[in-house]
Amino acid sequence: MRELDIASFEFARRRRGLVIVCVLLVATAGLTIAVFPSFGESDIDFAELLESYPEEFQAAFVGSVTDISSLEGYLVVELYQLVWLLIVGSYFAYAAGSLVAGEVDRQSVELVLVRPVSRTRFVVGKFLAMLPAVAVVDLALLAAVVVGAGLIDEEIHLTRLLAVHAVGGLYLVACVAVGLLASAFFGRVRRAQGAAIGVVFGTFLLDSLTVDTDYEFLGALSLTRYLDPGELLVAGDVDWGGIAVLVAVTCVLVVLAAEVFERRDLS
Amino acid sequence: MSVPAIDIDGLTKFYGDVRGVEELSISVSEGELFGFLGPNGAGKSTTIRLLLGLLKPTDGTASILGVPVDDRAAFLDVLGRVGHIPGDPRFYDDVTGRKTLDYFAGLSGDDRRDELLDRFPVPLDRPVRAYSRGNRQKLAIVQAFMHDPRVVVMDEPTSGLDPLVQQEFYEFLREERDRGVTVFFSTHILGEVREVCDRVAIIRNGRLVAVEDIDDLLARSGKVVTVQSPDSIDLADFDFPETIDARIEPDGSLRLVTSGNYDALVDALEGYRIDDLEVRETAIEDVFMHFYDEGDGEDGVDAGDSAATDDESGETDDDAEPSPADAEESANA
Repeated sequence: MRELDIASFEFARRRRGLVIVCVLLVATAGLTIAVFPSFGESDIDFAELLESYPEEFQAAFVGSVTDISSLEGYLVVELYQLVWLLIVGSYFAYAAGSLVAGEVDRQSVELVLVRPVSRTRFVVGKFLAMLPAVAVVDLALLAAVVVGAGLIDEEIHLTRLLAVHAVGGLYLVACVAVGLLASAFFGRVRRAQGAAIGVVFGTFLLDSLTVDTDYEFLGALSLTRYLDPGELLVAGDVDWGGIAVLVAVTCVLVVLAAEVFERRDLS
Repeated sequence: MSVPAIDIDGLTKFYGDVRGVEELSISVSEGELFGFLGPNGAGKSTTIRLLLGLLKPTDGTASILGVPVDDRAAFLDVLGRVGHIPGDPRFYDDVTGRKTLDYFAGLSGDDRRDELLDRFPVPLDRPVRAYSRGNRQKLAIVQAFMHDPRVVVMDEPTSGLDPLVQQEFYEFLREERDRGVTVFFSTHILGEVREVCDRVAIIRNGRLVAVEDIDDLLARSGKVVTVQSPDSIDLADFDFPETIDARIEPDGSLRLVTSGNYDALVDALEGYRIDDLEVRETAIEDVFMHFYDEGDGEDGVDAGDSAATDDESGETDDDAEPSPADAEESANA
């Protein structure tokens, strides 16, 4: 299985970057959770505060949550909606942008694709390399939240938390696929990464800004339309249709990336 | 006749309107040590990338061991028997030489890594970032040969190697050839071609100028006659059918490349007083200058001493041009 050789080599080269991302994410989660107790002690009416935000802002950063006095609601607003969906999602799109374009740009591809490795296998191998990376980041945050909640003596619904991380993982994999397609299409790393992060970030904004307007359908272009951490963590509702879309989009993007790369000149 | 190891047929690549290579046809037999000579920018790397399927041709085709490059599945199989050194080999900076080779071994096999490393040693446990240009090139040699390929395609493989390693590499290439391996490599260094190649293809501006057997080329190319005279030499006196090239050097001496008919030469010299007369074997540089002289002069071939240009010969006859007609003939032979 040459895809696995490619995947494990690529993953090994990304370990250091991955550790840094995990440390930053765990630190962010830790700080966020540490602030929660003092949040509850203040006598601000958070429901009213949330209401007072403009709708677009709510759509982007609050999601479907109406109550942030519970740890679940608080985490959705402060951590999952913004940090997870937008920042970590953009990061994975950006990181995946260099998967193929990086090798083309630096010309190391000329040492790999002159071996019995088809371009499709090469692209698939690169994609597979990011799966353990997503898993590591996903589990690191999960662990941080569980441990953090324990440290401040708060109960957290573990099954729902697992559901958020399972669906969130699929979302991140879809972000990887966006980056992979950009990476297969562009010959320069910068361009591929710019395009990837632009698409994830741009469609996120599109999804948020078009809520309750005539253009709401445009938000369907955004991956974030297909998962709702609030619904998952607070209400415990799993959107199977959304999950199916995330998986299908990922598959289509990987196939497209392979096909685009097969047809390209490499130089 | 057996299938050629490398068969390039009418290969053409345009980048938009810019010509990479055009109508290139070369056939290399199994077990041949084949040189691909041309100045920088002539289209050597483009040809090699087309041959390996990294680029798609605009027209024409190329095959290795009888399998055309556009037959994707079968060609992948052939690539398992091909070794390659790119023009400027780029590895993964943060990965050690050993891990780099492990990776490539997983993709295409490893039959003789240790033997190659004995011959071309590199600091295996240091990251490639810390490698000198020469070490990177040696690593490239090891990765190209470690799966014991039948055909090796290399783009300027000796650049960056120090002279001793270069000699070792030439020796190694001859041994590989004797084992039946087909070696195809590009270069812009003439001495390299003479030193190791059986045959050479010469490319200029993306077009094939000639394919020659090295020994034939040298044998057929005659001798160089240099005449110094206090008189002003008229090139027209030396325009024999056998004259390959005649020119007046900046110091006023005559430099004639001729394939014979010394009687006519002696007769022509009778009209001149002669200070000095030298007849010598053609150096390979003299031969190759014919192929490049007739062009537009943008070549960067490392042609050693034969760099006298027409502009410099202002003090001599205006028509101190090389005679292109014969050169063209031999070029198309």
